[in-house]
Amino acid sequence: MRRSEWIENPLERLIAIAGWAAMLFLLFPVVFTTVVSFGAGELIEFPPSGWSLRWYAHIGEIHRVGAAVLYSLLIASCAGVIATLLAVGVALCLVRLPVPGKALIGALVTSPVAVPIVALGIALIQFFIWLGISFTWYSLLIGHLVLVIAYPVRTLVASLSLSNPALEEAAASLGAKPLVAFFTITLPQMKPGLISGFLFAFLISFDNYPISIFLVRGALTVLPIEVFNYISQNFDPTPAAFSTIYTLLLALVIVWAERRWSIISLSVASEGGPGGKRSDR
Amino acid sequence: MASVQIDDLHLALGGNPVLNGVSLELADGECVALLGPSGCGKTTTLRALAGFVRGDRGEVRFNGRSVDGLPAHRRNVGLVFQDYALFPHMTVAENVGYGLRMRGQSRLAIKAAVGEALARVELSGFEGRLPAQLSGGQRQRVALARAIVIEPDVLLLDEPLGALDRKLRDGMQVELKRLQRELGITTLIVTHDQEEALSLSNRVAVMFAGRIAAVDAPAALYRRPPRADVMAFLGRANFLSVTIDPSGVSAGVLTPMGVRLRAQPPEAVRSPAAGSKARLAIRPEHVQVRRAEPDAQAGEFPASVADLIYRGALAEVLLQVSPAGDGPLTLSADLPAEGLNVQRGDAVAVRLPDEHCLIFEENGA
Repeated sequence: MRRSEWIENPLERLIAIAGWAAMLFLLFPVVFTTVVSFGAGELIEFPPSGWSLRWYAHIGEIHRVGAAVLYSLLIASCAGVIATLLAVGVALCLVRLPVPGKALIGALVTSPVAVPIVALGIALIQFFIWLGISFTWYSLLIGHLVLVIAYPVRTLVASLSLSNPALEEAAASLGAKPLVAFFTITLPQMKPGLISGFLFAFLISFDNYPISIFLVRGALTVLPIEVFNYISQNFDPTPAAFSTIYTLLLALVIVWAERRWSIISLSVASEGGPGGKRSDR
Repeated sequence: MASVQIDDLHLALGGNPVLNGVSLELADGECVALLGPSGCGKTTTLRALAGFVRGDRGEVRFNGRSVDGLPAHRRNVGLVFQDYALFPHMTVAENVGYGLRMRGQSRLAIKAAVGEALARVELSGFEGRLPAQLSGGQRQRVALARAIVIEPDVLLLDEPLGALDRKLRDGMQVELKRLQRELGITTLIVTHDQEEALSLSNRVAVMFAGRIAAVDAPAALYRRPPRADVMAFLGRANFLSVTIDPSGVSAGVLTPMGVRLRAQPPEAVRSPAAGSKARLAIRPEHVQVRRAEPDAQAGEFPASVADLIYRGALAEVLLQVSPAGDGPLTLSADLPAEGLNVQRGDAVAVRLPDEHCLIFEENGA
C-alpha cells in the first residue's frame, strides 16, 4: 500500500478495521466450506490433513440429487418469473397510479419477509388444507411465491421511482399509445429491476429450506432438503463440495448481472443507480 | 400548422384552483411566450394543450376544432420538456425517430427525416450517441429535433433554456428563434425568465394566479404595460404614490416631492378620477439624474445618492428622496456606467420625464 493511502484519522482507521473484520467474519464460512471440500479424509476436518477432489465425484451420492435439482430449478424459475410479473403490476400501482391504500398494499406484499418463516409455513399448510389443495409442486410454488415476491417488488419500485415519468408523457406527445409507450419506454426503464428482482426471487426460492420442509410431500423434493438430509446422516465433505460449486455458480451469475445491470446498487436503491439515468437538471 | 385558441379554461388539481379562466389565442405560425412566476399555472396551461390534463371548464381548440376529447398521443403536438425527457436507453437517432416510428413510417424515411432534423439543430454525426454521452446543450437540441421532426401542428417548449448555463443560453436563444422562424410552427414557450420571453416571442402573455394578465408584443408590453403588476414583473420599475391633480387641469398628477407631472395612464386603463390617489410608475433607465441644484421649474427635485450598484454597462443608482410631510422613499435609476459622475452621498437633481411615467390605479391593477 502506498504511503499516501494510509488513513491518518484514528477514528477512520478504526472504522476501516471494523469493516474488514466484518467482511472476514462473513467470508469465513464460505472459505471454511471450500477448504473442507478439498479434504482427503472421510470426515470433515479443518484444516484437512490431505487434499483430494473425490468428494466432488461423490455429489451424485446425495439421495435423489438429480430429481431435487430439477424440482428446485423448476420451482425457482417459475417462482422467479411469476413473482417478477406480478411485481411489475404491484410496482406500477405503488409508484405511478393514484391508488388509495398504497402504503397498505406495499406493506402486505412485502410482509412475508418480516413474518417468521415458520409461521408462514404453518399458515400455508392450514391454507392449503382449508382450500383442499393437494401438496404437490404447485402448492410448493405458491408458497415460494408468497415468500419471494417482496424482492422483485422492492427492486421494481426502486427502478420505477428512479425513472422519469415525463418520459412516458414525451412518448405520448410523440404519438405513442399508452400500451406502446409502456412497452417501448417504461418497461426498458424497469429492466435492471426486472433482472435483479427475478434473480433475487430465483435465488431465495432455490435456497429455501423452511417453507419447503412444510410443503414438500411424497415424491416431491427440493435440493436444500436433500442436502440437509444427507448432512444429518453423514459427516463426510460431500455437502461441502456441493456448496462450493453452488457458491461459485452463484457468484458468477451475480458478478455477471452486476456488471451488466448493476443489480446490487439497485437493490440497495442508491440514487444515481442504473435506473437513475434521468437527464441532468 | 395550426392556430390555437384557449377559451376560458378552468382547472383545479387536487381541489386547488390552478387555472381560473385562461383565454389565449395563437395565430398560425405565431410564437407566444407564456410568462409568469412559478405556480401561476403556466405549465398547467401547456399541459392542457399537450393533452396531459383536461380543463374542468372551457375549451382548447386547434384550427377552430376542439381537441378536448383527443388524448395526448393523437394531438400532433411537439413538446420539449424542461429536463428534456430524452429516452435514456435509446440513441440520439432512435430518440429523434421515435415519433416517426409511432406514425408507421418506413425505416428509410425515418432515417432521412432524422438526418435532416439533426442537421437543423447542428447535431449531424451524433446519431449513435446515447443521451448520457451528451452535454446539456446537446441534449436540448436532441429534444428539439425530436419535437420538430414529427412536423407538429403546435410546438410547446417548457422552460426551454432553464437548465442551461448563461453562455449556452444566449446561443440557444438565437438558434431557437431562427428555427421557429424557418419552420413557422405555431409555438408556445413557457418561461419564468422575462428576458427569454421578450427575446424569443412575437407576443408575450403574462400570467398571474391562473389568469392571463396581459398580452402584447414584447416592446409594447414592456413600454406600456396595462397593469402595475405586469410592469413590475416585466423588468424593474419604481412606484410612487401620487394624487391626480384635483384641479383637473391636463390630467396631471401631484407627486409627494411636490412636483407636478403630466403622466398618462395606459390606453387600456380608464383615467382615475381627479383628486384620487394613484400609482405612478417609471422604469429605472428613464429616471434622469444630474449633479446640480434641482431646478423646480424644469420638474427636478432633490435627492441624495444612497448607493451605487455596478452592473457592467449600467450602474444602478439608489436615490434617497425625502418628500415634505412624507416618509423617505427610494428611487432606482439606471445610468450608463461609463462617465458616471455621481458618488455615494452626493446631492443630485432628479427628473422623471413625463413621457416615461405611467399612471395606474391605487389598487395596483
